Parts: sequence; C-alpha cells; structure tokens
Amino acid sequence: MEQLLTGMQKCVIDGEIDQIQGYVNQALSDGMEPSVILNNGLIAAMNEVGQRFESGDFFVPEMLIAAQTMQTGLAILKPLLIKADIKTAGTIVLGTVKGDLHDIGKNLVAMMLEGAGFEIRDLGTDVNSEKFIEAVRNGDADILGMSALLTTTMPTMKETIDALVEAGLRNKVKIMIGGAPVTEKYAQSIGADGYAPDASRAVSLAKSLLN
Amino acid sequence: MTFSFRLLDDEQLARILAATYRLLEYTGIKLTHPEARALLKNAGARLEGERAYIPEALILQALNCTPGEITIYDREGQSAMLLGCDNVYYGAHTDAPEVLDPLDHQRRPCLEIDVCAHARLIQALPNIHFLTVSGMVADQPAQLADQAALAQCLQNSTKPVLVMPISQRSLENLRHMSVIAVGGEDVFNAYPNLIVYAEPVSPLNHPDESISKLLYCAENNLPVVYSPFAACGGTAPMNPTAILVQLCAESLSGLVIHQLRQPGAPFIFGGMASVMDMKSTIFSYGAPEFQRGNTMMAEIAHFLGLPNFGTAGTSDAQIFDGQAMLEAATSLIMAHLCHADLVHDIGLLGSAMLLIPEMIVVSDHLVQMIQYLFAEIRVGAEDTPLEMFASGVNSGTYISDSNTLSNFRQVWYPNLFFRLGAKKQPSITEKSFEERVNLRTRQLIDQSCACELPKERSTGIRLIYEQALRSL
Repeated sequence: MEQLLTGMQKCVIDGEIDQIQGYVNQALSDGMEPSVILNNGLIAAMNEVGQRFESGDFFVPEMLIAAQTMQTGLAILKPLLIKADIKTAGTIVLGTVKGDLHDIGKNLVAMMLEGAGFEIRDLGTDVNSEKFIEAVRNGDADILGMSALLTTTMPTMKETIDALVEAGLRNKVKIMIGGAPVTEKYAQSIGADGYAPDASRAVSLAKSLLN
Repeated sequence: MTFSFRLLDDEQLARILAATYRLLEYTGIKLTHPEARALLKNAGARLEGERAYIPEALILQALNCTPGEITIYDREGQSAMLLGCDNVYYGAHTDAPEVLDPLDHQRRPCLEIDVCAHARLIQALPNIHFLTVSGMVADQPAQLADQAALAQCLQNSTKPVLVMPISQRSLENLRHMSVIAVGGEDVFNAYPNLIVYAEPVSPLNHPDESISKLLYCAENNLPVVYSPFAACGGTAPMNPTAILVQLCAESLSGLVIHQLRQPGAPFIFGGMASVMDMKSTIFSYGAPEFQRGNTMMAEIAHFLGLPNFGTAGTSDAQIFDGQAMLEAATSLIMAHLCHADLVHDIGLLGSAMLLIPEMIVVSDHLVQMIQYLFAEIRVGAEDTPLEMFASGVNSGTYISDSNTLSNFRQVWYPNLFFRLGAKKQPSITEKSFEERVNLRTRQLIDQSCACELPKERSTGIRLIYEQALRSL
C-alpha cells in the first residue's frame, strides 16, 4: 500500500497526467479508502509540489501540470468522497474582480487550493461585488478569494468587502486577496483577512485562516 | 543564422597588414637577445645596431608553419579549450598587486591565501574557463611569487592556467610544477594545461627576458601568448589604426623568432590597444577605444589564421560599483561578438592593479547572459505550427500548453539578477545587487574544494617551491 501511495505521489509531482488514473483505480481496487488516497496520496504530493515551488526548484508550468494531474485523479475520487460524506478542507469562492479579465493567477490559485483539499467555487473573471455577495449568501463558503491584475480594478476588492459588511455577511467568511499589484499593506488597508504573493502561499494562507 | 559582426573589412585588414610588414622591414624592431639575433640573421633579416629589420617573406614563412588551432587541456587531461576555432574562453586573475577583500571590503596586498580562494572561486564558475597567474603575491619572495601562486592554482583548481612568469628561470619551475600536477612529462607534452604569457615592450622593443621566455616555450613546445600592451599617445602613435599596425609588428616579429627556433610550435597572437588618459596618465582598461582596439586585434588574428589573445571583464573603476560592471559588460559583449578566443583579465580592475573577486562572479553571469543574447535563432516550420497558436486562442493562455512545459527551461534564469517582483522574499529584495554578489562570492569561496591533487603530486609541487626558496 505504502509503495502504491509513493508511486502515486511521484506521478503527481512529475506531472504524469496519463498515468494517475491507473494509480487511483489500483488503490481503490486494493481496498484503500478514498479519503486515504486523497490525503496520503494526492494532497501529500501537492504539498511537496508547493514546497518545491517555494524553494525555487519548481517553476509555474511544473506546478500547473502537477495540479492538473492531481485533479485528474481527484475526478475519480470525488463521487466516492461525496457518497462517503467526507468533509473537504473548506470551501472557497474565487473570482477575478470586475473589469479584470486576467485569470492565469486566479486559476493557478484555484488548482493549488484544490490540490490541498479545498472545495473551489470559481466565479470566473469580471465578477462584480453583487455576484460575490450572492455566492457568499447562498453558499457555505468559508473563504472568499479575490484576484486583480490591474491597479484600476483593485478598488473593486474594497467595494466588495464594504458591500459584504453592509449586507451583514462580513463575519460569515474570511477574505483573502492576491494579484500582481496587491500587497500585504493594501490587504490590511481594505479590511481583508490575508494576502498571498503566489499560488503556493495562498494554500498556507487559506489553511491558516481556517485554523 | 549565426550573428556576424565586423569592425574591419577584408580590404582594411589587408592594408593594416601591409603597413605592418613595411614597418618591420624599414623601421624594424629593437632586439638585443643574441640567440634571437642570430636566428633572424641566418634567416635573411638585416641587423643594424640594436635594430633588426624583418622582410615580409620571413613573416609569411612563419605564418605558414604556425598552427592555426591549439588544444589546451585541464589538469585531468580533458580537452578544455580549442583555440583558433571561433570560440571564446574567459580567464580570471588569481592574483594582482592588490585585492578588494570580499569579507571586509578593504583594499590590501594580495596574499598567497587569496590565490587559493580565487582558484576555488574560478573552479566553481562554469563560464570562467582558465586561471591567470600574474605573480603578485605579497607574502612570498617577489622572485618566487609566480611559483607560489601557480602551486596554489594547481592544487585548488583543475582548470588550465595562463602564467605570467617573472623570469625564464622561474618559468622552468612553473613548467615542472605543471608536469607533476598532470602526472608526468609525457602526459604534459600530450595534454598541456599551461599557457605562458610573454610580452614585447611597446614601442617595438623585445627585451632579452621576454625573448628568453619565448624561446624556452618554442623549444619545449609550450603554448605561448606573445602580446604587447600599448596606449595611444603614450607608447603608440595617437592614431587608432597606427596602434594596430605597431601591435601587429610587435607580436608578429615575436612569431618570426619563435617559429625560426621551432617551426610549428604553438603561438597565440595578440595586442592590447588602449589610450593614455591625458588627465591622469593611466593606460585605460575601460575606454571604448581599448575595447574597439582589442576587437580589431581579434579580427586581425582571425584574418591571419592565428589563435588570439583577448581582453575583457576589466575596468578602470577602483571599487566594485556600477562603472566596474558597465565597462566589464561592454567589453565582454565585444569579446563575444568578435570571437576573441583566449580572453584574459576578468576581475582585474583599477587599471590592472586591483583584483575584485565579485567582478569574476558578475562576469561569469554576464558571459552566460551574452551567450543567450547572441544565440542562434531558428526559424523553421516546426517553430510556428498553427495548432500552437490555436491552443492559446482557445484557452486565453499558453501557460498550461505542453509546448510551454517542454520548453520553458530553455529561457535563461539568472541567479544574481532580481526578477521576483516587488513583494516576494523581502530578505532578498532588501539586498542590493552588490550585496547579493558579495554573498554569492563568499559562498563560492567557502565551498570545499572537490578537486584536490593526489597527495604525492601536491608534495612534489611543494618540494619544487621549497627548493626554489632555499636557492634564493
């Protein structure tokens, strides 16, 4: 079993996307619990990928292909996890703010968060504050994540937070923000709970916000 | 297509050489060395007083028998440099009159322990191909400083060494040390890891000591650089073309003597063409005239079919600063563009008085960047298939494209230049470029030396030095 998990982890780390389903199916037919496969196989591998990225050994495309591999494996597990009522690490609503069509960074964050066991509701790009509020009001989001690449669209983050306060929903979610022009200082100034400079550190931030 | 670059066209090159041959035949050179004078006289040159007048036929004869290519090996017998083949190899100094200590940034005389540190540093840098020993070690007897330095180089680096011997007598010991380092006379003769530097003194003078070294190299088939340094207005006419003619005459007259002594012995042509700064009287190592002059000398070497001795990575700056890096960068670009062959003086600043180890690290980085700047570009159908663009249009990005994944590492990722954006890794962003280079330099020097010599060879080298000390 241990050997199979090690192989599965290596498969994710190396981005062997064509082989991951073989590993997951093998583990299931050997009787391994879906939650064990998820936590000790796929998520453990993505933790290693995140560490390698932060230490400079891995570059973005390698992190991306690893995340895609993880998701390919996860697709098999998802129905089984739902059936077994396995809780995720948390639910995160994500979107690029209104006026901004850039989504490379946001998609990377989504993939890495999913790789860490979070449930992602991706609202896409050009998302206005009403849509964010609606997602928070109607869902069970633990975290709201907003992304902006342009300095001109950054103010929408503040507008969204202000609107959440007004709607009485601010205490319902933690808010994390990111994007090229965004800084820790800006996050504090608009009342967000946290800021991450890259996709890998968005994972540790999300975990720390929910602890 | 490879990028091609020329300052002189073939007609200009031919005119410079014609003027050189006239200069050697009618103005002549100063030469007092008895054996060299006899060699020239027997070959048909005219001697008058201290002058020797060399006819064009003798020069062409020498050129005909000089090898156009020379292979230099490392200490382990592996081929390290193929000179005369449009390549560029960079060499850094291990010693100089003074060194800027990377630990406390103080300027002080260069010591034997510094040579050890610099040899290790050069060993760790992939784009620095050889070491240069100039024989400036303040804590050893001046007559043996070159031997003390070479002993350190051979024990701390496997890379080839260019030595500037203090005397012909010292050169014999330097050769002996290298013979021991590589494992014996036969190995050394087949796989030389040593290049000797000797110089005529501008204008047009061949000191006896320089000729003794030159003849010793010819007899022993040791690769030798015979290259003058001149400065317009000081030791060369105040004319950018005339200086080239003089430098050519100085190096080529050495070649004639060398080839008469041993036809076919390996010879490296060269000449450093600088200007005298009329405010300070220094001979500039950073001037654009110097960089242009060196480039044109390389073009002349290529035209003659001879390996060339180039210069780059230098500066007149007296500290590790922006001027140092800018002058070094432009000279390295020029050296690359003209395929300057054996390029020396990296890390030597303050008009050749000061060794700055950080500049060796910066130059190594710059050389890598320059190789990318002028890398060959491929334009084939396989580089622009329509499906490549289709995937981008469909998904709005190429980031998850398989082509990106397979090729992104071909992009140059600098390890000294900062590209991490404004927000990441404050411990790095807060450091200046100079501080980061200093840190890297100290780290590389501290790395344990993984290229020690077998004990009996180290002992053999030490014995030669101790013997030389006793006979002082």
